[in-house]
Amino acid sequence: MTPLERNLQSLAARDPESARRVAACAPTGKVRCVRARTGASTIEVDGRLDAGLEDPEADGTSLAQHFLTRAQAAGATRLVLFGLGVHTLRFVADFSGDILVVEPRLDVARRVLEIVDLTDFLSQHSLILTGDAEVVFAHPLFTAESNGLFLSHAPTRRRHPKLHDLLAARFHPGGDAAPLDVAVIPPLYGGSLPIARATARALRQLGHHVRDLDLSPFLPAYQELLRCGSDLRLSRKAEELRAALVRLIGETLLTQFWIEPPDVVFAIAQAPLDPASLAQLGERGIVRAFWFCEDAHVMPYWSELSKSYDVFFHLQPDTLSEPLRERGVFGLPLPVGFDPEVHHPVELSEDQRARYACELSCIGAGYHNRIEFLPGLFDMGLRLYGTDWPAAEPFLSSSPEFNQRQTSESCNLIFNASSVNLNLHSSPWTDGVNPLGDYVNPRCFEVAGAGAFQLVDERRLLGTAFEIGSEIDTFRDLSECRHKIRYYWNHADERREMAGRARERALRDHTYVQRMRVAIDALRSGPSPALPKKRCTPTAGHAVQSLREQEPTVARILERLPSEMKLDQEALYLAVASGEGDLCEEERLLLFMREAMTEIQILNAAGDPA
Amino acid sequence: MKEIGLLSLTRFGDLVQTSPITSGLKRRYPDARIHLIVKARFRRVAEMLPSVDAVHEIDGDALAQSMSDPETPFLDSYRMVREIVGRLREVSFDLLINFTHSRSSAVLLSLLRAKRTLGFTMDRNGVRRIDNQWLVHMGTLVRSRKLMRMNLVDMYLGAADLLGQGERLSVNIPGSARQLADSLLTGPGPFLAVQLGASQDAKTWSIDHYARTLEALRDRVNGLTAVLVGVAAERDRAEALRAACPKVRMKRLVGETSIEELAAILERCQLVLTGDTGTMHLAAAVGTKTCSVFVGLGNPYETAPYAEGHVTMHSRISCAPCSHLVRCGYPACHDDIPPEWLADVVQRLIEKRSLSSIAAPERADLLETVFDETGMLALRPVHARSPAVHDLLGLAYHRIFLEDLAGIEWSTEQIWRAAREHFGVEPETWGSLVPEDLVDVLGILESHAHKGKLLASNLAALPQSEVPGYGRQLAELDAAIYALGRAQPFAAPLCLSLEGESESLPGEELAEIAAASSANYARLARRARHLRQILEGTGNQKDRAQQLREGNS
Repeated sequence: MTPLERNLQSLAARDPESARRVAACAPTGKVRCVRARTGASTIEVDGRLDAGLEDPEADGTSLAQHFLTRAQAAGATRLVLFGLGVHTLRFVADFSGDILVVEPRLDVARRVLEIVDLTDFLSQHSLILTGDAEVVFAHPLFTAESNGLFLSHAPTRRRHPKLHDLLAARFHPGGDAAPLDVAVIPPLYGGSLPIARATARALRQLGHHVRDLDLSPFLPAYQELLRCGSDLRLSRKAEELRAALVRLIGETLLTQFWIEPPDVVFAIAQAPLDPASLAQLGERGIVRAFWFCEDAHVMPYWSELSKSYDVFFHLQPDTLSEPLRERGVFGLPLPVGFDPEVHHPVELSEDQRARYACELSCIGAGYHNRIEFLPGLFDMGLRLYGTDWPAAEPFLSSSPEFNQRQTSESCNLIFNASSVNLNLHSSPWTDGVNPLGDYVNPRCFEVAGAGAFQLVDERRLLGTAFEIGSEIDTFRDLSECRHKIRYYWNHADERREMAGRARERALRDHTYVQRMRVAIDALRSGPSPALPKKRCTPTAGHAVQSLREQEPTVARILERLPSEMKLDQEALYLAVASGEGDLCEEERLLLFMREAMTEIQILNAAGDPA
Repeated sequence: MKEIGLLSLTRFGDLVQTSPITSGLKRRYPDARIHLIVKARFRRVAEMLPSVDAVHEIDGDALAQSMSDPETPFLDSYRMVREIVGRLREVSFDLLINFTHSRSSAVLLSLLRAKRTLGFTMDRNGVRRIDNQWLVHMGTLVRSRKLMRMNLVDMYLGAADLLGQGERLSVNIPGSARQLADSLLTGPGPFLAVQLGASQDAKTWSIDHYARTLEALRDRVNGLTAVLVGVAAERDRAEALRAACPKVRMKRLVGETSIEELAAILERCQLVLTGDTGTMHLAAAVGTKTCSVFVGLGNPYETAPYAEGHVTMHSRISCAPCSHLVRCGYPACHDDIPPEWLADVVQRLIEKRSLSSIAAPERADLLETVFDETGMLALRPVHARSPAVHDLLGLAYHRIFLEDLAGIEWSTEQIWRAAREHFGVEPETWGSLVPEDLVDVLGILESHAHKGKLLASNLAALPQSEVPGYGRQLAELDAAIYALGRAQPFAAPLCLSLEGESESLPGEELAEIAAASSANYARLARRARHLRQILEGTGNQKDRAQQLREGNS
């Protein structure tokens, strides 16, 4: 029997349909068998070799070893492999868990099965031959809840980038995956800063260890350089200095990560990390992710910066997916969201009502399109909040807190206090509603989360987030906007019901926790899967959770600590010291642990075993 | 007294050094059960100690692993700790003594609900306390190492009120271990046990030095066999030594023996060449003489073998011994013991010849252990040499503190005589050695101490509203005293003692604290006065000191 016959026999025992399709597939010239110097063969697909000609078997072994190491590190019991590596599968056949191989091309599968004996593999594991993502999604091994890992064969990924990205994005590692140590890098200031904070909170809620990095000490220097830059003669120098400051911040972060590198650096738009720092992070095995929660048309910096990241999350699939793929960047759409802890229905006090209650309000920065559009609503009593508005009428008299930055909490009060919240997505170029607008801004989710009613300008992707007409309503121009404002003023019940449905939807689909769940799944299955290098040092919050039922007194003592605090000696000391009165038994035991931990560290440092 | 516990969570050597305490306690309380609480890895050492009825172990390695491993849930570590405490609480201790100078042991002592405790503990507010003057003094000793002269065993004995009763190191060796030693070390010998490793790198003399010593001995001592002993982790060192001196006859038993067998082998040897190690103490406990090289952190005045006739040596370099706060990166003291000279010392010790005619090393001291007239261990220099200031002050401080701790009286003449015997110096020459300002500083300290005594004794009688003001004055005074100690290190032991004693003031009532605090200042005044008197008697700045006193009065 030839290898192909043996392989088909083995495949047929588990999947007769696939065996039949391979047998029926006529060999084409697009996939050729090439013999290497060692005598082993590999394949050439569309003129490109799948492996080096020096020793393709060694290449396959090496990739298999890489897969198995990753699986072991992740504690995976389930692997989904994208692509049939010619010599790889032979060496992973003994994997103790389940393997699903996805090969999009039948002609490639046929050639591989002609070359190598995969009977061991095929008798134990599953192979699906399809380029249809939906077929893969439906496979039980793709959707299983056990701890899994998505790994890819690079030449196959190169041949099928869209399918790869789609599968990687949808793959859910499941199981009891160990938490990751994530450093969230915020911008120095600006609109992305609350998103960074919400991201950190959400990751923490998902059980990951999150390092909150406070870059605010650098802000005054940055702002001073911005101020200098406004002088024409200093602008160039100031720009150089700003770049130098960004490098300094990157170096500072690297220094912080030197002793205990995080598993993932999750940078938020405008985070001050330059390519050189990012390259060093990559060299240290840290997975670099970026959430570009800005308009790619307005902020073109994504083009160069994206190459420095392993995973690039963004808001605009139509605009960015293809260009990112062309740059070899693993990009994934990830809309913004809201944090139910911050944005929620609230019963306003008398004072709050007096301060914020109104029939129509709008919060935002003074972008060109808003400056042009909103004066058309001042006669309807629009109250304007936010910054960067022209210090002139009619803006002055319509802004109760002119150009003051509103906190997330005060925004929530304003949403709750307004009969109609107007949400006009920003645009520096159009005069009103941006006809090309696609992504949905955070405000849209926040107002929905607050249980408040909003009218929002039409956006191409809004329909994927909310059911328009039922959960949210839109306007295309000023006239429609005015009309709908009046309508909803007159239909308070309809307004309330729609707001209620929007909140339900937002809670179900649009919290930052849900966003981060998607992001972490993608990070775990991306081209450089983020795996915990070590289990994170437990935080006080983790310990409290695990102790609450079995050791409630100890849990109460540890509840004195901030939940994200690393549970080390100093934390134990702080927990005990924060109590009152005589030390109880449990406090003494914790102190004993603290002292013993400290002594062990000292002895270890002195090379003296405990 | 039915159940007496001894908490000893340190190392092998420290445990052997507690053997005089276990035997002393048994002699004093013959009906009591003596318990030892030790780290699991030293359980067998504890079982060899005399008069020990029960050994309880704490698995320090498992605890360390659990608490330092991020994958171990916090709950597991917490329960492991609670289980340890629960097991120890099964014994209802009438007295629990803690000689372990660690915070964890202090917390543990407070958790064990003994009727009475002695040593390092923690009060109900979480403040660490030392309720024994001897152990408070240990704090001074470790922070002023060059000036203190007291063996750790004497300190333990003093703390347990067993000083001067002739207790010595001892261990029980099973017959089977002796048989094994006999079978391993056959022939006339002589056998020189060599312990190559120590608990810390800084205390470990280099293989090259040991090799040169043994190589030099090879031609001098007929039939000599070097018996290499130690733990399995030291096998590489033994291999390296063998490679460095292949012609030396060796018996390599590193990592091959149990602790009982090691004791029997040491007993079978004529001499033990070692660093400051547990093996050294074990050898002393089985009656075999040792020749020990103290380097780095090792301080023979603190931990020389507690037995007479042992020989030890250490560098006179100004930084020796290392402070406990440093990790030396350039241990020059190791080179101050010449290996060829050491071979000469070892040869004489094996041949039981006098050391007096041996050449004095250029940069090190050769010392011999003796029990002095107080019954405590002392180190006598084999060679008289010009003293350094800390040599003289060390003699003085020892007697000054001993008076407070053990009520042993002394006279200036006794101290001068000791200086004459050890260093051949007459009192008149002290003046040229002691820093000029020391007598002044002692005068100021005495004056501060009198003021403190007055303030503290008034404290209890004050209206509540005035107490904080007095408290502030005392705190300022203490700060001034500690600053003097930092500025004049030769006066530091006095200031450090006050610091230690102030941290462990007994009681919770203001009157009680005030009385104890007043007594501390009184002691400081007395100690400063005594040292000043000793120095003045030597002619050191007598006139200036007199002027100062007149100024103060």
